Amino acid sequence: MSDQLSSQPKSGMERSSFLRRSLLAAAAVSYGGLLSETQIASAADEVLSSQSAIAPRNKIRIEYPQTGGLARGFFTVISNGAHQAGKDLGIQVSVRGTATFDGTIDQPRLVKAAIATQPTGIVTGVWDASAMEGPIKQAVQAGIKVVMINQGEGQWQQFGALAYVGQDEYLAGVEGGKRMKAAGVKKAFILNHNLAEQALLLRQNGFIAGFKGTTKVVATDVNSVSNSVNRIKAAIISTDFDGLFSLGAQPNADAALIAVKDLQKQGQFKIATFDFDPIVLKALEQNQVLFAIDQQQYLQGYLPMLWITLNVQYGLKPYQPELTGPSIILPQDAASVVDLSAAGYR
Amino acid sequence: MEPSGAEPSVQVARRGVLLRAWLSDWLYTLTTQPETGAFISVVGVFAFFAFTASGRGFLSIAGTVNYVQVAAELGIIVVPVTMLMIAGEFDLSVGSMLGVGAIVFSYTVTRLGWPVSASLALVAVVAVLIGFTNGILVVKTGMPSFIVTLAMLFILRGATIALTSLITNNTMIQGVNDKAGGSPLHIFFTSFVGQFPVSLVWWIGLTLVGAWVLRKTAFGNWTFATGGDLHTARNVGVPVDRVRILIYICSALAATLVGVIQAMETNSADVGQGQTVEFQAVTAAVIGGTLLTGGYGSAIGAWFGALAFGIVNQGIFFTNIDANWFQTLLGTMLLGAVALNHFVRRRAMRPRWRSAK
Repeated sequence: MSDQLSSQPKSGMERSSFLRRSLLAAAAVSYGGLLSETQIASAADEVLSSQSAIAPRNKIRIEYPQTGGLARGFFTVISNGAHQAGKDLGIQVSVRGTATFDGTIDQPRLVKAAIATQPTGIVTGVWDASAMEGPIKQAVQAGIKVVMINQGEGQWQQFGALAYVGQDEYLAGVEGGKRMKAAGVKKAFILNHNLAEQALLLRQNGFIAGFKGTTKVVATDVNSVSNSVNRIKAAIISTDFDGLFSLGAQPNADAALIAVKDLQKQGQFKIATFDFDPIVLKALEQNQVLFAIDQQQYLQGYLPMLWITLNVQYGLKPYQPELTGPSIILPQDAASVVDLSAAGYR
Repeated sequence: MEPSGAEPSVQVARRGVLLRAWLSDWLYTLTTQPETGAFISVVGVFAFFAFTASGRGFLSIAGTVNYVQVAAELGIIVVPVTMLMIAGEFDLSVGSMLGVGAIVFSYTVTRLGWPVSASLALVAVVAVLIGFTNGILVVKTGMPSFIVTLAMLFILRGATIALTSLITNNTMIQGVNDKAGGSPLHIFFTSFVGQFPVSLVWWIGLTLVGAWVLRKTAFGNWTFATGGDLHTARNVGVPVDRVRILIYICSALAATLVGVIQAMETNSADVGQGQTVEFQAVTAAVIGGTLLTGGYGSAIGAWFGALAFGIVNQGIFFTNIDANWFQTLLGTMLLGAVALNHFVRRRAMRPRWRSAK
């Protein structure tokens, strides 16, 4: 109780003088800030007018908000591409993210936060079109260049975005299904690590359409290889399937390899996956995995930066969506990709 | 008391009454044990899946190993969590602690090239430090342990994600077993007893130790007293602070143990590993008869609770049910298991309207 009392100012006079002093301080700071703002503005004006209105690159700042970006190796590759583009082009790139993936609530909020910083451009994925429509159109109206990546191929023009850089998940799934069928698989498990994710659903449906056989979806745990291994083992024990198709390398493909090895059914199962990681690449080299579908997500970080810069400077823009995948990695290609993957480029 | 010359039919009748009384006593004692409700829950969920998934391998050895493994890894953590709940406190940071253990172990083994013994020592030191921090924060500030350990859940998880991303530029550390599998210490973490993983041995062993401590030692008495009435216990001289801090250290150690086991078993560690384990542990403890309010519980009951959880968690994957229903089914079965336990105990606790013998 005594603590509470001592922290408050003791009299009304003291309180109002404190207020006066803080108001003065605030005024001083903002006046000073205004002064320096006008100085920078006039300097920039000079530069601009001398180069016939081409914006200087070091004034370009691009925000890349990524939900779940802090907790998935997949997105790390994209942000590596983004940072490298920033270095190569001489522009400022700012990547911010959250620990868990949520395309419906978090990503729109992250984009709105990015808009508030008044950047030149924003790069964002669209995992829930109706949730993202508002923020993206708001950004476009504010004069911010928006590039959509990874998901949102159907909406980029309608939302007013400058470009789309990504993979068509459904078609990639169809490709995966066809290849698994061609490899002789009759019944395949589809390993889905996030039933709530739209992109994975597209991959899943594409696979089912391309595979044209018996399939069963096994829900794995995006955060735990251990849980995923146990669930895959349960599925294997309880049926007579012969294929495992994973919608994402971590944790699925890794877990599938362990589950099959533990149950000693390597000869019986053919494994293929979307995306990849060092473990999958090693398994590819040893022919334990049929193929991996590479969406080359490094490009999804690099190309948008390029497009925004060129558009801001020279008014250039792409005509079509830029598809970065599917690119198929076969066992014979694996060796060349291994070190690049470990370093975060693929 | 009966006269030695009484008729045979009277003797038989008397013996019948005594036998019935003895049976009734035995049944009463049995149903008022916290373990009984938990045992019935296990039987219930096992029967459900045996019925719906019998032809699909649930009853096979491989199927049994499958859910036992999940139960064991949860069960190891449930033992100290139960003891904490009996002492009137929660530890919601165990899930994040599991992740810390897995990542620290994997990182030192694969990236720093440390021998397994050194990595294990570091993990143990980290666990003791964090467990001690949890304990000190709870006992010295008097803040509710639910909040303190929930805050630690976030702090630890965030630190795991941020530091791992910063240092390794990735969110998974792979290749643990490739480096650690050759060490002789690996038998404590990845070996098999028949077809069952060694985590089963840890689970049973730690449960027996926990049960013995709770029932047969002064420390166990102190634990029940601390949870029963903190102020009274303190006033009669029970070292309530020391008891709780020690158990917090144990729960951190148990969590990191499971983290290390999982890292060796799957050859990798994920920054998100162990999420929701804290809630699973509390649920298993409650199924096992431990009260959320403290002062009452059982390590043996918690054993059954973890087993029930393992069966429910894995059993669904043996059935033909659509994967999208997984979470709904899990929640429903857990509700059922806890309700069963709750009503069995309520019924057993009814006053008995029998006059004295």
